[in-house]
Amino acid sequence: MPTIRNYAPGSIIYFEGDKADEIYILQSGKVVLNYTAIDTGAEVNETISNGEFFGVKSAVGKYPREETAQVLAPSVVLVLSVEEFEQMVLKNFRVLIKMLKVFSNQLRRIGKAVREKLQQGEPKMPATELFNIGEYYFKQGKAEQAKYVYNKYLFYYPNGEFAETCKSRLKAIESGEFRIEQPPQPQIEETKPEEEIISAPSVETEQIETEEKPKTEKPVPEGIDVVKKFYEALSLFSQDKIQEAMEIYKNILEIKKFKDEATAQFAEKAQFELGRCYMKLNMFAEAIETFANFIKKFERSNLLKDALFNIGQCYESMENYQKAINFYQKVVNMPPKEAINTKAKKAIEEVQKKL
Amino acid sequence: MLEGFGDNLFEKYGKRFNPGEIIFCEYEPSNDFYLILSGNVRITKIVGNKEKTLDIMGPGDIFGEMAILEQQPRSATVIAQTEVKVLVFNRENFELILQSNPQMALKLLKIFCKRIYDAKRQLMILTLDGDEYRVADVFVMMAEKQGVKLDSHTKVEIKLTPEEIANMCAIPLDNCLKVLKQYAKLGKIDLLDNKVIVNNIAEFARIVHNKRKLIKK
Repeated sequence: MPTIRNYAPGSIIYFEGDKADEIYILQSGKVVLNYTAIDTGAEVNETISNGEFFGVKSAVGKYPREETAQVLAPSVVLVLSVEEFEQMVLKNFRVLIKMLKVFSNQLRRIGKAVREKLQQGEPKMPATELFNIGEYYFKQGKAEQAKYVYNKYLFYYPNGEFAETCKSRLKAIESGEFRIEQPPQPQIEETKPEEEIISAPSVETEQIETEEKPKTEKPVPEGIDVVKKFYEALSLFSQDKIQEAMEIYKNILEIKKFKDEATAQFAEKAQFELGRCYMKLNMFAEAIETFANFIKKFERSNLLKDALFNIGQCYESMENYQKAINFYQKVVNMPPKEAINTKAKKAIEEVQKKL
Repeated sequence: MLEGFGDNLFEKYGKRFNPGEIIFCEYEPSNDFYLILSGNVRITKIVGNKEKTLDIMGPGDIFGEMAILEQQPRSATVIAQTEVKVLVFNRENFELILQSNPQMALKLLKIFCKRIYDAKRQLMILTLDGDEYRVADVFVMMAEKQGVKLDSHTKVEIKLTPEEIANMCAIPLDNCLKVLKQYAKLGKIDLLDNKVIVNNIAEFARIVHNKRKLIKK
């Protein structure tokens, strides 16, 4: 049963470093939490409001208290065991979700701080690292896993540095030329290690490849289906199913000839949306490339300003503020004066604050 | 199958994987997270050209949950060990599903509490200046995780490779090896292939503690 405790001013409910097994709700009075901020080393005093929980994280996560809870005015506190706390929040979904949000915000903040510190060590390129994992599996003779990783690489970075290598590796796996545990051959390894493992594609393997094409490429039927597919992808995007949406946009972009002008417009839209997908996945370099291609391919598009604006946003997210401003400025300067021009102007003002 | 999850939920959000199949791969962009309904998965990471198993998870476990917070690339690879059935969530359907499964929301809450602590602890290591202090603090943190009392003069086995320690300290591997060799030379640790034996954890706890006190001033 939850119990009620009364505390006099000056008393301590728990000390930093104490074993944590109780959770508290302040019913009335004044309680502050004292702790040292990890990154700045500053002393922090956090006042608990009436009705607020405290001591949750350490009790639920089963680690020592990270702060000292000090009573400043006569206070009434409801004390719960971890089990009682769990029963209580299970019955009160809104409280549970609210806590989840508060904690996820904290986690996001700390996670970001950790990453910033870690990146000071050595920056890692996700694209390169993804490829390296494929290489690891490939060299271990784990064909299925290698295939998965190479395909993912080609999906996310079709024009990436290692795209060609991925393709030839996949070909090697498909043709069965791929051998488990390739013994190292020193002389050749120094010059051309890749080709040695893959071996040149024979006529036979090329035939197999053409036969298999329809299966792997999933051509999008012409006409009405392109439109339907496009809207399906938009809907997937709004449901946060970004990868699935990207797949459709990429399929649309592979079509060489459209049945009419109206349908061809969807290639333009798909290219733009693909850029937005990359943005959503925080793959800013890829997003910028996609939008830049968009601008090159569809220079008369009425989404031109949006594409420039988005590039600005990508640079802003990458903390390349000068470039961000340059792109926003392009939007501002571009007639006619529309809502997006004003938006770009405001964006510049925001970025300048960060400089 | 996990109790309380009807077939209709699986129809809508379910996915099936065969043994050996990759569910997602380290460094892949992330967007969704998973609840295991049946079967086991292996969480792995490739460190220094070796595949290391970090954890095995089974029915009721959640993985990839960091994707709801931030779309950072995946930090580990998940491979199906047996035939695996999972529910796939993303930010969109997340709250909806939690609503019908408060137990799962609670589970997530617990994971977050642990994660916050772990992240804070790691940040504490990184606020120390000097490679030797960071390495010492990794030992202390690992001892804490094993529930070892920090004032006890005991041996502690740290199951980490030099690469992993270097990663946790955000220092180059060479620097890390230099520090480890120095500690080994002084007889404070034994350096083995895949692990480090700390001879007296209290000593390292004191080194770190004093360094922190200095920062505070």
